[in-house]
Amino acid sequence: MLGNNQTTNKVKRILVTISGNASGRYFLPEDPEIEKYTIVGVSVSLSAPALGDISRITPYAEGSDVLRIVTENSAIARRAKLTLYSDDKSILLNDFPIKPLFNRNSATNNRIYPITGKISTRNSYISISGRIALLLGTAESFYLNFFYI
Amino acid sequence: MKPIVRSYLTEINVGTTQPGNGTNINFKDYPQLRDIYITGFAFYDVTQVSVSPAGKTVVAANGLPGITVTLLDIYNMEIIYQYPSYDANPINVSGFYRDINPFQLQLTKSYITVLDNSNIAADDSVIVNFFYISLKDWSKYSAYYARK
Repeated sequence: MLGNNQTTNKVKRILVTISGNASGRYFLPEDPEIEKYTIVGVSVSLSAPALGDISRITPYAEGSDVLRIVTENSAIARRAKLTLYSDDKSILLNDFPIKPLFNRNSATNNRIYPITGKISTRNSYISISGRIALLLGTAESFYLNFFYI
Repeated sequence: MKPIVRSYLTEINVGTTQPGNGTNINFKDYPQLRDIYITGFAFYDVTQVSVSPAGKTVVAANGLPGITVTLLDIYNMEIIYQYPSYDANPINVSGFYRDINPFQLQLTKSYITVLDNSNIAADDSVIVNFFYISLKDWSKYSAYYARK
């Protein structure tokens, strides 16, 4: 990852599906595998399927709903915040805005935040704040990429 | 950019009336941010975060150039003095957040200054993301910040 002198080609993608009334908390699925490793970077895919990554995300999809991704410029992306708990149950990230984690755009030059530490997936969640509930016709998913060593 | 060991999103609401030019607004007390070494920070505008954690509208993109931030350490020294918030928004600086040489932050005496209120509305919130290491964890990570 840029800046923390860590290089890795290991990445684990975790889907967090947002459905129905979009305000509230959406917990990450429990993933014991990623909890064994040290995270060195976090990003969110992807700004639009037109960028060409859709073929790469298809194998991870388990149903048609999860193929719908939350795009970078959607209203939900600007309301969503990521909270990650560390393995000792303390808060690693508190309400980290999701949109800056979309790294595939010209403004951020593909830079990835060098978030470092071990995480507990069962306690971590994406929260969507707002006075107005956003109603989604179909479930959409955030594609979180955890780079680890 | 150094590793982000911990991060906390804070919010400063400008109040129910539009703040005047030259107004200082202090940060609230966040228990998580007591006894910490600050390692970096980032500002965001409404194009990245539309609603603050408290449900307020976030300051507009053209509002950030009118705001600076001053951060004090536990000895009341203004270590970061009137740093332009626009420059601390990663989207304006090729995706970088601002690393700083760590010091023990005294958040409740730290503040933002409104230099130009023309694009800041009443009840807007300014969003600041702090990257930090807690005092008890400092010995584990201090090597990252050793002067060379």
